[in-house]
Amino acid sequence: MTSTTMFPDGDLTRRDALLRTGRLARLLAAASLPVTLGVATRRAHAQGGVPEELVDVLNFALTLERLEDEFYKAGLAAGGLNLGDARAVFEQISAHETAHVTLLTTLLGEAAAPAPTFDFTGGGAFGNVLSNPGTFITLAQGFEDLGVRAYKGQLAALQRQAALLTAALRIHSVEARHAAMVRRLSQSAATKPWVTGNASIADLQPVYEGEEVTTQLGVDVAQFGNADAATEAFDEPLTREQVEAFIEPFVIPAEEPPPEEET
Amino acid sequence: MWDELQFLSRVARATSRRTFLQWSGMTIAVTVAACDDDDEGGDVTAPTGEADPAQSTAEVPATAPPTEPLNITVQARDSAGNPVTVGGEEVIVNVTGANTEGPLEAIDNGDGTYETSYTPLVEGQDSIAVTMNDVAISGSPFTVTIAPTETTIPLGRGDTGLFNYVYALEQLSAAFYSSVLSAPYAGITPEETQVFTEIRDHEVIHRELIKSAVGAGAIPELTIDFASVDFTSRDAVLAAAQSLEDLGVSALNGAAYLLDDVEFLEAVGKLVSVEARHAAVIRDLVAPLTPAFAGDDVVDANGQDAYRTVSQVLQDVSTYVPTAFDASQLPRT
Repeated sequence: MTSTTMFPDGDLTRRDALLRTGRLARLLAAASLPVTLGVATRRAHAQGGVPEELVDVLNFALTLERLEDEFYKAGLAAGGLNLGDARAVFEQISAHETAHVTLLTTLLGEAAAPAPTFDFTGGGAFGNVLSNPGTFITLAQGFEDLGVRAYKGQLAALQRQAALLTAALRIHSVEARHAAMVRRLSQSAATKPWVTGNASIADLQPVYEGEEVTTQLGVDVAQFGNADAATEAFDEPLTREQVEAFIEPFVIPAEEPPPEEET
Repeated sequence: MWDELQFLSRVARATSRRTFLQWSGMTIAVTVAACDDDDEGGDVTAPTGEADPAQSTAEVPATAPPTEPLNITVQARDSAGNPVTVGGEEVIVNVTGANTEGPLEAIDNGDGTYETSYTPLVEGQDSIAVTMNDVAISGSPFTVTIAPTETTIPLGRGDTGLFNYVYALEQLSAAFYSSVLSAPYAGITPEETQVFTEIRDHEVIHRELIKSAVGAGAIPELTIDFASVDFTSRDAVLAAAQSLEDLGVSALNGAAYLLDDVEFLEAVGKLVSVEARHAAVIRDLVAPLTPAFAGDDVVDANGQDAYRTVSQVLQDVSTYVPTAFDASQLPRT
């Protein structure tokens, strides 16, 4: 039989994913239509929404996306930060991060964690991040490479949720496009669009821990090419704990609501 | 008559067929245990008369591949159309058309069948004239289309099938960059050469890892035809590279949920972000410092990259891979 007759409706992935996860998937489908974002999706969430055990996973992703979203907004708004020719690149990235925040908050509905505030200097390590383009690009690289590894680390948790898994992968590859582009803007000549070994710049080392591995599926892939390519050809996952440890200096948790005064 | 029936019964038993014996207007069904349903209803009538060319038939394929022997088997039949079981006729074959052969005198097998063959070298249509004792047999001349055999590559089932799908994509990508680098377009920059070289190295590693993971169930090395790509043109090379990288990203994004083994899912996750990095770089070579690296043509309003079904991807792959894939056994949910 020819390949073209395999899936008669031509869009099996989507249809099937929808069938598999019911309400949640309908919610995702609605979210992919900007016109219906809002009332329809909130109603859907009220009826079911994200499985309880995945709320944490999505809130973890939401925190990362909020960090990125606010970071680019701050950079584009900072009068003293001259992004020059790269401005159009960061505007595109910023638009995507905003869209990711919208998508995740829509999915989570009332289960969305309260938004933290952020310190983009990371407690001072990146003190001139909103005035020095080089520092801004460096931290953008760190956040994007981190985002790629963070989503990758949650794939196993999402595996049996076809719609959510596919949504996460589709965000994940956009983060990878961002990462490659930001790396092309790097002032470090040694920085390629892909990650070589665990090479880092500035204070980003935790973002690249473990990227140097050359064993994949139990096979030493260095036998298939040169040593650099063997590490570049695969981006490695990070655990949630590793990701949270890196972003901890940038995140100021949302304040707990004040306890009610006793009367 | 009884002796005849016993003889035919033995024939039927020997050939494991259910045979209807007709004799003197009476039909007797002789059934043997190991009956072959394909031959159900086949009649054997005995004894037969002399061979009648006008009733004699030949087995000639409707299509045949070039450079392989094309076999022609002639069955002599009597005036009632019943097979003759003795030899002695002169059977001649003449081929005209795309190929010219003959006259070929068919080998007499002595049992009423005659065989010959020729090896067509030229693709096209051949006309095969078969005569018995200088008279054309039934159906002569036969028309044969000489063309390469249409085969499909079965991807297989389960995770093996899905990894074969990925293996096909990685074969395609690796071959593409090898072609780019073997005859670079005029004016290629050192940066472009480095990008193509590094991507090629990544794709080769991906290809070999996936092949190794699939093991004995791996599909063969594909025949890939890049004739549609003008490798002397920078624009054409970058456009093809961009579509291949975007295709790889969307293919993996669209198929990952079908994987059963979580290690395979994680491996695909490790590959797909590198393919996305490739796509971004190629796109930035096409339109530097613009939103193109993650353009609105691949990233939707929710900030999500494209995804494609297996059938959509294989349709695109067919631009470069003439052999069709059989994806019918891949998991669908």
